[in-house]
Formats: sequence, structure tokens, C-alpha cells
Amino acid sequence: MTFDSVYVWVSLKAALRCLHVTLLLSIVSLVLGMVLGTPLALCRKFRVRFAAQAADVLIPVLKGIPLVLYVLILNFAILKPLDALAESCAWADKLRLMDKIYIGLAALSAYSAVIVSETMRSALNSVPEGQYEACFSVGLTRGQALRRVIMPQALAFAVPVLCNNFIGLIKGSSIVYVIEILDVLGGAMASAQVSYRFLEAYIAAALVYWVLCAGAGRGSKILEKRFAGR
Amino acid sequence: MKRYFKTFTGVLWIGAFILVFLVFAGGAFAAGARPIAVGVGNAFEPYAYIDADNQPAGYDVAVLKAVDERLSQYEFSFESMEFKNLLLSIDAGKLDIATQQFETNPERAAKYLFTTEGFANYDKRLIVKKGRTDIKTIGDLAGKRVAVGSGTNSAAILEKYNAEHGAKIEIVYQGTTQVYYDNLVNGRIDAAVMTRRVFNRTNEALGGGMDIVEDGLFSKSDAYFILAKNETQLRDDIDAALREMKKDGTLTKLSLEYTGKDYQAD
Repeated sequence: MTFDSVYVWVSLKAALRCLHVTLLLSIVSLVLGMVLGTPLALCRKFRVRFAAQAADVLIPVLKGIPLVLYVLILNFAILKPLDALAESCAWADKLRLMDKIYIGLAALSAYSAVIVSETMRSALNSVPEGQYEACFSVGLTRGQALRRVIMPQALAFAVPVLCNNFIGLIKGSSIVYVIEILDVLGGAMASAQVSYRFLEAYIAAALVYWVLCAGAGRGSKILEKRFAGR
Repeated sequence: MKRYFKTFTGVLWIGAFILVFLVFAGGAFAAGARPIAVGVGNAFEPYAYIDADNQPAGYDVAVLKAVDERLSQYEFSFESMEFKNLLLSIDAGKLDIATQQFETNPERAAKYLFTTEGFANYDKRLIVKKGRTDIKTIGDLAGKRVAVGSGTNSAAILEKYNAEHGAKIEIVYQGTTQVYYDNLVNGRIDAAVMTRRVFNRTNEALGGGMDIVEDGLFSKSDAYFILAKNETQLRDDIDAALREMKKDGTLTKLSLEYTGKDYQAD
């Protein structure tokens, strides 16, 4: 069987019909990851009691778990209790039939929170200790120091790394096929079921991911320039 | 320091000996018979899977080994790979034979060579949650969620059905067996498609929450070996060996040993 680029086009169109799923999974999990991960990093930096100790133990553990296991474990961890509750509670019966994309979002966000918290921790550490001391010496509170002095410097350091995290999430989101979510990769594969043009479908999916990641890289460059300018 | 250096060179020597031995052993192996690369699916018990010793195993492998014994002009070597990549590897010329209970259909037959002799019944039936009676035929699947494996003949049948009837069945490409069993039993998926043997095994292993639809088949079919398009001689030889094995009872024996049923029974 020879390679036939017509089928790449067919699969590309099928893949693009599922583009919103991949975008939703990667963007929402990046944003939720930042919302959850940044406070975690701050807790560790400022040694907030209990939270810092818990994060010190948990994050290295969670960092060592592959994304595919987040997806599979959360699938069962979310659905099993709902299935058990469905007999007695009407809301659980409704909830257990939810679109599986929510489980994908939960898994990717949890994964992203761990990764982003490490990014933010190293970003906070990259700001010299003298900057913190200078802030406190002129009477800024911790919140003021963070907002006005520390975070602007830390973010400039964090942006390229966050962009890398985002690219990782875009590519990583393709694993959701294990819980039967139809994303870009799944859409491309579905179009090859009758023709058996799987190589063409793989290539079509690769093209979409490449364009997405290249776009993310561009966005990062623009953001980096803005942060460097201030 | 010197001691460590000695150990290091010792290891190097042993490595070199192993390498030389492998090259010679490989050379002796290849002499005479034509080497045939066989690709075997890696996750489909009891047909094509990887055993505890990391070797390709299952009914498909056992049948091909018996075929190889009958054909002195070939020397089969087996390699495990993921289902979808079997056909890609044939395309790339890396494999001569691929097997994981392949069914034939016109689209596949246009691209690959199939053995004319089948080696296992592969009739498929619809599978539903235990006690469910509203699904009997493919026509009852309109608006329902149906799980099939990516790259399988069942997937092709459903995609074609949708193309002809204007997208009616919601096809769900199954992830792992545990995930889709859990989905089926809890109503997140309405139906699946399996052979009776696979159904029996899966249902028993995972808790018995499924029913098989007895009236009417989803598809009627046999399993065949797939070859590259130009291997007509190899196909004819395998066909002859398979006919012989059917006649002398070898195939029935292997089928009983691996699947618990005769190769002709569904």
C-alpha cells in the first residue's frame, strides 16, 4: 500500500472537527493548573504551616506519576462512587452519565497543578533574596511585596517555562483516548477506520498538534518580550 | 582504581563474546530456509498476546508455529506489536505476515493478501448490560452509544453503516477493557461488539455484568492471516498447511487448548 496524501486531507478535516476538545482540555487545564499551582508554590516558598509540609511530601510523589495514570485513576475514582450512589440519589444518577471530557479536564488539571507549582516555585526562587529583604525594609507587607516587586520578576522567568508546560499539556491531552474522549487524535483515527489509512491519520493528527504547539511557542515569545520590556 | 579497570575490561570482553556468538548463531539460523517476519498483536488473549516470559503467545502464534513445522522452506520469527501498527508494518515491508484474528472485508482485501483458509470462527454478536432487551440488531443502535476497538472490522462496519444512514450510531472508541466494561455495566455505553468466546472470557474475568444478544449475528466472519500483497506463493503454502491441519485434527486440538472450543464453533 502506498502513501496517499488525499487521506491525510480527509483525516485532517476529521481531526479539526474535534479541535475544540483538545483546545478545551489544554487551555482549561493550564489555567486551573496556574490557579491551583501558584498558591501551592507560595505556600512552599513562605513555609505556610501544614500546607508547606503537606506539599513537600505530596508534590514529589505526584510528580512521579505518568499522565495516563492520572486519567485512568481519576476515571474510576470519580465514577465508582457515583455509580454506588446512583441507587439512592437522583443527582448522582445524572452525574455519572456526564460527558467524559469533565473527567479528562479534572485529570489534566490535577497533573498541570503539580507541574505548574514546580515551575512557579523555581520562578519565585529565581528572584534574589535581597529583593524580598528590600521590600520588607521599606515596610511593604508580604502581599504588597509579591504583587508589586516579586511576581513581576518571577513571571518574566516563568513565562517560557509555562509555555513549555502548556505545550506538554497540548500533546499530553492526546492520552484521553483511554477513557473514550474523542479529541484531535481520536477524530483523525475515526476517519481511518474504513480505509485503514492509519499512517495518513497519524500524520494528519501530528500536523494539527505541531501547528498548535508552534502557535503556543509564538505566543510565548510575544509574552516574553512584554515582560522583558517592563 | 586498577581493580575497577580490570572489572570494566572483563565486562567488555564478555560483551564482545556474546556479540560474536549472536552473529554466528544468527548466521547459522538464516542459512537454508527463507526468513519470514511474523507480527503478532500484543493485547488479545487468548489469541495474540505477550506471555509471562515476554514472548509472543496465543492461539494465532501456535497455529503459525504448527504451519512453520510443515513448511521447511520457511523459518518464521515472531514479534509482538500493537494492533494498528501490524498493518502499517506490512505496508513498510517490515513484516511478511500479520496476525491478530484479522477479518477480511473489501477495503482490506484491496490492500493486503488474505489466506483463503480461515483458522477460527469469528462471528460477532452485540453485547449489552445484563437484563437489557431493547437491543437486538444493528438497526436498534440508532442514537445509542456503541463501543468498538479502533482499527477493528466492527468499527469499519459501524462507520460504514453511519455513512449510509446519515450518522445515527454514536461510535465510542474503547480505551482499556476495564474502562469500557465499567461504562457498559453502568449505562454510560449502550452496547459493545464481541465474539462469543471473547465475551465469555471478558464477562467471567470482570464480574459477569454483561449479556450476549442471542438472536441474530452482528457480523459473520472468520479469522485469517494477513500477508503483503505480493506473497501469493507464501499464501498458497500456508493455505495448504492449514488444510492439512484441519484434516488431521491439529487445528481443532490447538483451538481446544487455547480457547476451549473448536475453531469452527462461535
